[in-house]
Amino acid sequence: MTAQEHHAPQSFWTKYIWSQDHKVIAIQYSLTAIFVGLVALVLSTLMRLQLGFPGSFDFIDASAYYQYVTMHGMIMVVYLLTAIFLGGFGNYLIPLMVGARDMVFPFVNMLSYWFYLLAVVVLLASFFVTGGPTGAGWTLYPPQAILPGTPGSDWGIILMLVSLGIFIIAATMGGLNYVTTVLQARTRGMTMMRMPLTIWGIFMATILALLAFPALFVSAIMMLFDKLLGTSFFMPAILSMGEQMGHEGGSPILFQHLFWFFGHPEVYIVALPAFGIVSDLISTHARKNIFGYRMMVWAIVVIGVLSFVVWAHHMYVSGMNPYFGYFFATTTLIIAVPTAIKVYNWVLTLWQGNIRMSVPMLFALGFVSTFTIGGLTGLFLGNVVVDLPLSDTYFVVAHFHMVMGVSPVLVIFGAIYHWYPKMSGKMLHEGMGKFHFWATFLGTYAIFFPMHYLGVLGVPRRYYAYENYDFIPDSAKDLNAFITIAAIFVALAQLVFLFNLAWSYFKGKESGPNPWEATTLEWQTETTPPGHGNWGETVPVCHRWAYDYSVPGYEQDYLPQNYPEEAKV
Amino acid sequence: MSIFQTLTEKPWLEGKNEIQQKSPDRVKKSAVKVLLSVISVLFFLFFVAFLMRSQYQDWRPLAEEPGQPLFYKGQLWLNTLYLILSSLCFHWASRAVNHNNAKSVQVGILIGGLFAAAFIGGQLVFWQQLQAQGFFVNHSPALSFFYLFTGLHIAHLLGGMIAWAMALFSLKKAGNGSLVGLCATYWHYLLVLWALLFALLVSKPETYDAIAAFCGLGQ
Amino acid sequence: MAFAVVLVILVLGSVLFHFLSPWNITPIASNWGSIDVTMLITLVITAVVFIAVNFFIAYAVIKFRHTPERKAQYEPENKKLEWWLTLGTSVGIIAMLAPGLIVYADFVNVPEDAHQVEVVGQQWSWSFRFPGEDGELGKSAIEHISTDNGFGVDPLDGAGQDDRLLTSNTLVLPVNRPVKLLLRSKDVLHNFYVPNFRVKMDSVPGQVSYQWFTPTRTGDFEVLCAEYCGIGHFNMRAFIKVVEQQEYDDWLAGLPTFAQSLKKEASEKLSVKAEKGMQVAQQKGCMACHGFESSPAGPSWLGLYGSTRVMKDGSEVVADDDYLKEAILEPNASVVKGYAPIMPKLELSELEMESVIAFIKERGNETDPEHQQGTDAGKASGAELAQSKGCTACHSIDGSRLVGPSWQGIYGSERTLASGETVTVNDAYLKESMFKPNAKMVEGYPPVMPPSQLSTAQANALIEYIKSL
Repeated sequence: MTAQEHHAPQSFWTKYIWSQDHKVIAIQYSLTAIFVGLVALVLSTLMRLQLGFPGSFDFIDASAYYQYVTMHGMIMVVYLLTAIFLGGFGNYLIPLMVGARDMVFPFVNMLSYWFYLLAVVVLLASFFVTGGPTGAGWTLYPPQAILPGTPGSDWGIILMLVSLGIFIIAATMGGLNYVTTVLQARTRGMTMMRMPLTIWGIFMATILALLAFPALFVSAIMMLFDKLLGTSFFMPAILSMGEQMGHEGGSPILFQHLFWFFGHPEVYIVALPAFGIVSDLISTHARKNIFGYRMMVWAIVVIGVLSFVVWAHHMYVSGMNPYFGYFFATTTLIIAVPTAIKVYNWVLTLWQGNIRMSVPMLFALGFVSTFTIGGLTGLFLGNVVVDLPLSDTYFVVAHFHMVMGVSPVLVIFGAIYHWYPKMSGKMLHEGMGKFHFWATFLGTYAIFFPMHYLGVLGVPRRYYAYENYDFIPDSAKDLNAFITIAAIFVALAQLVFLFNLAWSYFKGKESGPNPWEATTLEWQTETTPPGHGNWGETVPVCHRWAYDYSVPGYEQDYLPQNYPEEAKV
Repeated sequence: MSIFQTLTEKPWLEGKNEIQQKSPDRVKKSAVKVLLSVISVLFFLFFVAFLMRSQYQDWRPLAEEPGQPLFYKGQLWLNTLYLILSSLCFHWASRAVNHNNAKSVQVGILIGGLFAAAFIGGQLVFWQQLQAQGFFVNHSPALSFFYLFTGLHIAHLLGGMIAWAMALFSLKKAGNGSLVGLCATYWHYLLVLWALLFALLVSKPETYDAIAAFCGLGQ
Repeated sequence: MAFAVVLVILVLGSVLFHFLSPWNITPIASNWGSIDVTMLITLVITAVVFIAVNFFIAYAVIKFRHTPERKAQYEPENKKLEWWLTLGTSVGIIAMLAPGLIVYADFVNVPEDAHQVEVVGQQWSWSFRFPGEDGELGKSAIEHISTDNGFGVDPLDGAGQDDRLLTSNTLVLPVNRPVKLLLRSKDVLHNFYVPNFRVKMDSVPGQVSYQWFTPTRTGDFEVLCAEYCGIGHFNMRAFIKVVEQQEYDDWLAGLPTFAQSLKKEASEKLSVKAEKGMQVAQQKGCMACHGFESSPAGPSWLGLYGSTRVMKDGSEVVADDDYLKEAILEPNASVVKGYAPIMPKLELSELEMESVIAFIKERGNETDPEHQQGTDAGKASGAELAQSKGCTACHSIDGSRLVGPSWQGIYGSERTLASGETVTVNDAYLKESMFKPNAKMVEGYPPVMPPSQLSTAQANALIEYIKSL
């Protein structure tokens, strides 16, 4: 065991603010991520107001609209989803599930949170500078990102790039901890293959993050140089507002290659933890081992590796060498195979199970259903020639919201309902939970399923308004209005969830140490919530894999991982 | 235990309960390995960007003719010498840790740190010399990469200096030499990295054109 | 239970939605029906999986719901089943990828007989160039772009002289002929996309990209910019009109050529040709001896063109194009009286020669009223110009707020500027705003208007149009 011999923190400040305890850091990360996610949710509501009811709100002009689009996208992908899965769930669950007392480098872990917070502050500061935040689209493509035709091209883009740089440093510090803890700090008996899939998912995602974020760092630095120092990494000879700029020879496509070399693994950084968590949710609440555990682990590893060779499917119409299209279409469709296998294994886990439709299970199944659609529409876009008409239309927007915005968020909710009792000793209110589930699941379906059809029609994305386009029928405007109303409804429904989180903390039913009767080690702590050092006097020893549910020959329908008898097959 | 062996285990069957205890040193070593992988990816991507950019029409090499910024590389060679000496000192110091020779360790890392500072100083001197001749960062794409590469390398060395300070501190205070070996590893890595960057920046166009063509980036 | 029912309803509802929805792919108007077929294959395969997975969940959730007596099965893995599922999935994937790559190969390989059209995107309008009789487009570069040379065609490239230029935003194409669009951009990424033709491709500054298609029926189609290009992205309009070959030929013949556009037309002091001539004259060293002041080295060019000069041998000569050409190529064949035969022989191409002569003519005879003539000045009405020059991308005519102030009712009104002062919107203000947009910005609008590329006559036509709104 590494240096866990530091004393338990004594003062309010060292316990809750400058804490080096992974559980506190996890909550800090999660609360910050949820807060900034709510900001992005408001931004998306404003965008939808403009799309559904164009021109109704004077302050949403074209500049503002594009700024909302950009900030909504970047916050959600990086500052919410990545931060909450790795910094939130990763921090909380890794030491508990592998049987460690804390992360291997608690001080660096603490630093990683404060860097993350700094990155968030810098990003939000861009709302208050001259020109406002950048409106370059979350993909920040040059040349437009640093030219005057785009909102926020003065300070906005600079703060965005600096904030991303700080975030990447935070993510690297955190990532170092998560990977090293999984590799080096597992308790006795906890072999890699006895780890629950939640850990495999987060572990693989962390490796991806460590290897992919540098590409974003590279692009951000080179773009800052082009903007501030007049270099020409990405800037070719161009005319801007009638003036010849001093740049020449740079390549906008170089930026796209670098960005998507990061960008594609990024979506798996979000998806893999979700995959891992959902496996454990389904397994626990169906009282059945996850079907095909080994395949599930291999699928996670293979998906992780393959995610580095598919990036240019975001660039089919970028003007890159057209022959690249053959290669990337092939790798992209290959990556669909391990992903599909995971979907089969989740539903096969239900087969011959003993299924409890608890709130976490509802969210888990909601994930499987929505991820299936999202993944399937990805096949349209991955197939290069089918992408030609669909690229840059609402088909893409619908696809990525389904796979990034709906499914992983359903998992986040499910995971919170599942682990809240561990974290607080209380159950979240079930009635509110069910309402939250139905409103969110049905609401997001209503928003994003019909949206695909707008894309097929050819309605382009990143448009402020659609006045006088003959090929867009009036009924599409009605559909946009409907989608906006659904979006407002879903946004409001989240208030119930927030209320539930706060209310249940004080008034919720006592949960006891293991309300779901789950096998994994985090439910075996001495106290609930776990205290400093997690395990009291002795760290548990692991005797079995994470899925001994309904083992034949035992009265109880689950055997915790530290249950001492030798496993019977 | 290879990756393949691990992944083909059947964990629901009886298995071992023993895992060797991981010493704190081993943990830190593992972390340094991960860190070096991340840094490698970072510089690798810059290297790829360099290759791609070098194939465009406006690219001019840096060290072929007298008028070019890196033609006179004396200062850079001197800096390289400082870095080599710095690495040697760290190597010597980490050997001394194993022989429990506290005095030598201290001297070793102190001097190693000083040579590293000399390297950084020397690089900054070279930058000044370039700017005095009008070779600013936006002078040409190749020179932009030069500043970028050397700047990032210095930044990582500075980060290493923080670890160096911590190693010195924990040595003085607690006689703990565990960080010294890690510093040595990191220093050797940065030396090798510098050698590669230096070679790349002053290489003939034929060389990187060939590499670019090999990677399918040729134009 | 409720969950299973809802899931089944969602699936059935989605399928129903698919068949009943009025939002379908636009009617195809090009040869790329094969893309539609590939999309359909993908749809069928994915629909099967979608329905199967969801129904399976619904069924399992009912059949295996928790009861106190039930015990779940313990089955860590089933190699055979997993193997079959992997195989089946792979087959499905191949069934989608194979046709996809075959059709893609068609897209990558442009037919030999495709005719070429260059499409130039800029913030926030489109313009087009045709290769002319020589079948070749002239070289272009950003450095050549000026108010009078919007396409940046190199005036010294012979191939560019007969290129036909279209600055209005309606592109006409002949039906049933494959066309390769060469895409260029002057500033940022754009993307030329017509939903009915299916294909699209970004235009990237610094390089030329392409897409090709064959229009298969006549009609009018809308063009969209499909790559975010800044604040005017959503209204960067163009139109394609597909017509019969004859109509296309006639229309094309009516477009001005690049050579014609080089004649002085606009707000610059020298035409593009003469501007180039000035550069050539400087590079070749002509200005060392000739200038527009009198000099003992060589005859001044001031007032030279068209004037009568006395030669050394006493004869009189009119300094016209032929004379000037001879003087440049055979300098000492006939020397002007009073000057020494010291002019070196120069190598100039035909086009360089013409450009120098244009320079001599324009700069030397600055008061020549011929200079005031344009080529198609004033031919297009203000309303047409507003569309084709991209003004309406940002300025509406119906009062609604787009990117810039609406033109409705603007003439004669008082506006507050960003600087705080108020201004009355009159002719002078409008002209200034067209050519120096950021000089007097209206309060509350972003400073993103590029300077207009208009002749004086065109600017006047636009102002008349604005007055009428």
